[in-house]
Amino acid sequence: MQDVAGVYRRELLKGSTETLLLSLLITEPMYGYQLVREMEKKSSGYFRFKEGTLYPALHRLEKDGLVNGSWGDSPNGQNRRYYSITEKGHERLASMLHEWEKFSTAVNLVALPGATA
Amino acid sequence: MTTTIRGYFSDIRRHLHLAPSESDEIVRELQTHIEERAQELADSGMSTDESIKQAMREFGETESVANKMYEVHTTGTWKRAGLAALPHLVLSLLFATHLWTRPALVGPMLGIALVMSILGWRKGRPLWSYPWLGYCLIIPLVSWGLAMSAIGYGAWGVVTKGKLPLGIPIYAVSITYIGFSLWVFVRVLSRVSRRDWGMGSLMVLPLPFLGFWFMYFYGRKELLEQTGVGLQEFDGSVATVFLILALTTVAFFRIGRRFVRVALLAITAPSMIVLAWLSRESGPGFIALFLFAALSIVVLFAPALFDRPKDAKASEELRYALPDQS
Repeated sequence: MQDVAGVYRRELLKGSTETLLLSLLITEPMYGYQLVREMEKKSSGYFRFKEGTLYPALHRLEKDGLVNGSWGDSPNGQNRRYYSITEKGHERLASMLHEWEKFSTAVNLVALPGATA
Repeated sequence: MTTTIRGYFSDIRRHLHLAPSESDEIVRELQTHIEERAQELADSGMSTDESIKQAMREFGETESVANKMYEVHTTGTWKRAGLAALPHLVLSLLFATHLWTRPALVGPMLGIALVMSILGWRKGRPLWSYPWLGYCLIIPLVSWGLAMSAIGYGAWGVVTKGKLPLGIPIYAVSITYIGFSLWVFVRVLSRVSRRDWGMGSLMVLPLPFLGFWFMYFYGRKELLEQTGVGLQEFDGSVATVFLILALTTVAFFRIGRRFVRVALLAITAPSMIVLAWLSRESGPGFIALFLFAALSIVVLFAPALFDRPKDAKASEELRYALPDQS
């Protein structure tokens, strides 16, 4: 039987990848694997980035000037490609979060009217 | 075990179709990810061998990963797509306004295309430079045709009159030049196609149509002896064809998926020949139409011959390493 909740979650994650990545990078520059780990940790295991999706998304953000990628050493001395959010990335994230707030409020008003009353 | 990872990344690199420096950086980044994941699995008690295989399985199929990265890295902005389509647009304009017969305009245009191509080649061949480079390839191709004509004329003279109509040095130069111009053409095409034969196909896209156009006039030599009017009877459809080429180029750059790009070119190439054939008043018949349409497909896929050869050993290692992939 098809896991409807799982499919829905993947679809939601697909549409929110950019927002989630930029949100994670607000605190500090991170490299790909660190982002996967942080995402799992902060969402209590709810979200898990597929690597095959993560890197194209990161490179797209970099191409759009929303993040900067550069090589640096991790605390254990390994060379990693770190991503940091740019000014343009901050602005984009603010605008996306604002829209998300309006969207989620509207969804709750329609789908969960009792909860929002 | 190192060879297993090498096989995996060798496969990703082969499917990336990007500049070597770009591919190196991507592969290096993905490799650090897999190594860290494999180390984490090994620390949790998995064997080294199995941890690497598991990390690669989680990462996904090489072709799928590479295709997504290719899409991100080669999808052009509107500005770059416009720059790539510019030579087609200018030609469309020259034909629409019947100004293409004026050498004072066409000469500088060819010069600009040459400068743009050299600049692009020196700056690591950005993707927008390929259509410009394609038009520059007309120079060795046309001169190759002229040298071939000189030799054919000489051979005809020997057969019919028993002597060469022109001096021997001219034939010696022509024969040498045939080899040289072909070498230039093949060398440029192979350099471009080794990175991404789809770009090579985009570069040579106008050539079959230009060949058809040339043959049309060759078959109707009386037009060449007339004033501009005869030469320009075909201009409306030629302008349309160049406009289609410009739109195809923009779509090519805006669509990231490689197979869609190739399909787009495969539809455009014979369509241009059919359009030109339909708009002619006389001249080439059905057989010429069929031959040129077939030639356009052959020319379009010829750059694939220069694609980097498959590394059979690496693929074999990969199959061994990823038995559970579906």
